[in-house]
Amino acid sequence: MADLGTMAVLLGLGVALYAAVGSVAGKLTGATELVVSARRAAYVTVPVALAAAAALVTAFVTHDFTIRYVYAHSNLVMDREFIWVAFYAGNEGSLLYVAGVLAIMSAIAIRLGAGRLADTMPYTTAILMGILAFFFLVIAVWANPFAPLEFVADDGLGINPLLTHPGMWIHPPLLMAGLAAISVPFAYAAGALIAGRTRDEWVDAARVSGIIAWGILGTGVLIGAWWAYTILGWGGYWGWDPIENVALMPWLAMTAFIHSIMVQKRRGMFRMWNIVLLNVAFVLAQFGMFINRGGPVVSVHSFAASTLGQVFLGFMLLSLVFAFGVFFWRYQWLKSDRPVESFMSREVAFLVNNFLLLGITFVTLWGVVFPLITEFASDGTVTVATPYFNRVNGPLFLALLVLMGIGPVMAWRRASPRSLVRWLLWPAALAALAAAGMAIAGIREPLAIFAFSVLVFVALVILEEWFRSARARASAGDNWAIAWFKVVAGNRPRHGGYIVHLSILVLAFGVIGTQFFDQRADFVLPPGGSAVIDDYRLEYVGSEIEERSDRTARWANINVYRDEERIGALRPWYAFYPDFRQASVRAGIRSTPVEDLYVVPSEFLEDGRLVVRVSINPLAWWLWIAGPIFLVGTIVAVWPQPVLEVRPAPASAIRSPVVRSPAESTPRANPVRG
Amino acid sequence: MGIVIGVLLAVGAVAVIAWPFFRRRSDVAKDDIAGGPGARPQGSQAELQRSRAEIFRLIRQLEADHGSGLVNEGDFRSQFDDLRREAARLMMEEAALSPMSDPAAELEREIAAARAGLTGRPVETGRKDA
Repeated sequence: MADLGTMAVLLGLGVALYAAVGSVAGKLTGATELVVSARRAAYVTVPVALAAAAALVTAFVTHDFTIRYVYAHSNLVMDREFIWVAFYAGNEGSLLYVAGVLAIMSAIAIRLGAGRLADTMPYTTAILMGILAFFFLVIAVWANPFAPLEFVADDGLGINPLLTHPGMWIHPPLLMAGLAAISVPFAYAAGALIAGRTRDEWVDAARVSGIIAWGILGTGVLIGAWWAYTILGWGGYWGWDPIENVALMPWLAMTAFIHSIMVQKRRGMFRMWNIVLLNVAFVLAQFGMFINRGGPVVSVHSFAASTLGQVFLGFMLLSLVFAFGVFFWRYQWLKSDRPVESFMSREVAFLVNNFLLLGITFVTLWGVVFPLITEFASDGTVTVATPYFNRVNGPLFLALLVLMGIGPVMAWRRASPRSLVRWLLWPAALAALAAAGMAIAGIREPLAIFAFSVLVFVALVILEEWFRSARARASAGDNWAIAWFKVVAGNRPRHGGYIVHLSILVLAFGVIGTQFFDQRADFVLPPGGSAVIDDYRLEYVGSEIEERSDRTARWANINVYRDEERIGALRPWYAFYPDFRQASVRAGIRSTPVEDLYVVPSEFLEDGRLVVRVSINPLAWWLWIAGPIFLVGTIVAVWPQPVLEVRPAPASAIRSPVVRSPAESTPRANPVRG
Repeated sequence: MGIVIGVLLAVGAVAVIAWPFFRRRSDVAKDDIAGGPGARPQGSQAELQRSRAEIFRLIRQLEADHGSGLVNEGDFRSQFDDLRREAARLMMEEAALSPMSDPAAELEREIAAARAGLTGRPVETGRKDA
């Protein structure tokens, strides 16, 4: 299988290069055969990449330890369900996975754009295939997963213990796919600019592919937080770790883009800005690849540290020069159709939203690169820790939440202050009431009270808009549920966006609860001993042990009491992997919408006592509920709108004064009903 | 075995990629244009129609915003006129490429059709002078 894998990788490199060069050469020389041939070559990269992937999977399944990568990331006792995880447990497999995903996404993007964006697709194809060729090149030259092992081995080293978690099935693939997928909207936009299509031809394709990339990346980040919560054993879910940050940053830039692109679509404005946002997102995605694959920073997620840093740094710089080179080349043709008419408008709300998102992005970027710069410039090592990120980004996130409430009720072009007051008065009043209620209920954290009341405010604004819109339709005879569905269906991008906003509120609810009100304590318990935290009592009953060739695993049996009533049992798990000199834990979690009781064993002492860390994480349950809501909103936002068919224009339109004066032509107020 | 599959893969890839060079040029050109769903030549009437359909969709959304109170009467009138003008401009551009009849009535009919598109039944346009 190693032969097939190596041949497929080399073939993939050749075919992707041909597709990149052929499509541009065909376009420039007018050789249609070459353009079509290059496009077919782009499609061919899919089966080629899949063949390479199949060869590697087969090698894992058959325990082919003649392959170095299989030897390094699996062994005979490894659970079979983790073969898929072992596939991308190291750089070589990860890069093959990225190449496969990029090949599939590129083929779909090229297929969907081939007709409507025929003029620009040769350049888009060249960009996508150029990126894919780079990945195949790295795999072929520096990170070959099919390279032979230099000695004979009966068994492999096994998989990194931290990766043996169900979250690993989907978290890394989604993150890598999300980062790779940002190439697609970027390629649509850059291809259009190179072809001289500097208006809005690329907008729909880039918006849809951008939302898909953003949704994949966002889901990957959320699942990563869940993985960290259950396996890393510190009771948290987000530590502003460099690897987490490099996934978050392109996601934030894409969040800015998918908001801002609506202004271009609707008003023909922000053309330059949208290109800049896409460029930033794309370069940050390459930065993410550099940090992930190059291993220049220390991280709890550094499973694939290697010496590929310079290669990926070079590619990131090349991406930067290319992206902004194309932008400056076409800069003068990217003017907006019209200026901003009022600072009180949805356009400006989107712009402020973008500045806040980019602000968070660059604060985070600085936190990631500052230690690298310091290390480069001096001998010392500097660590940028969580307080920096929380203190600087916290207020920015809060401002973003406030804007999330105000922005949607601002009209395009200009919003009247009276209308804004009418929309925002009740939500603001009820949010103030909620704040007062929280203070009366004994919550003593002013910032948390303010943050919670902002969530109430934003949720009420969204519900108010749905209520008013559904009422306008319900007055025509539909029941409220159908009316609401029709409201959402009538403008899916906007209402899908509101559902995503709700998911962000739910997420923020969990973040505020866990950040402001968590409790934590460490205990040393003998068998039969108890520990008390808040109104919980934990009784350590005893432990069980399991010896396997690669690990020694222990379970702690813990009874949980509340007000002396037994409410459940927890079985947190701790295992030590001698080959890796590494411990892995599974927290015991009793999760309710109010709070999580989180128990993680730190150590089993020889005298039978258990060292255990216990946390109470209020509202943590809501963090994970946000994920499905986020997915639903994303799917609604990206779901295609029904095509409106129009008849061909009549010839007399050239001669007839179709547009009368406004007074003559404007209809009386007539809301769409149905 | 792996080498045999690899060779077959390579031969298949070359065959698929080289195929356009062995076809008639006219067939290849057709394949190029019809290479994807929604395939239409750019700058054509079809593209103008698509832009006009997008304007009608915006009109429908504007009317929904007006119905919910998000857009007040004055802004609604002003934005509706802008959209209508843009649709008319597109229609005139398109008409320059192809012949037909009364453009004002056609425009109103299409706006009404766009509104009805949501429910499948026609809705009164509200225009007195159409």
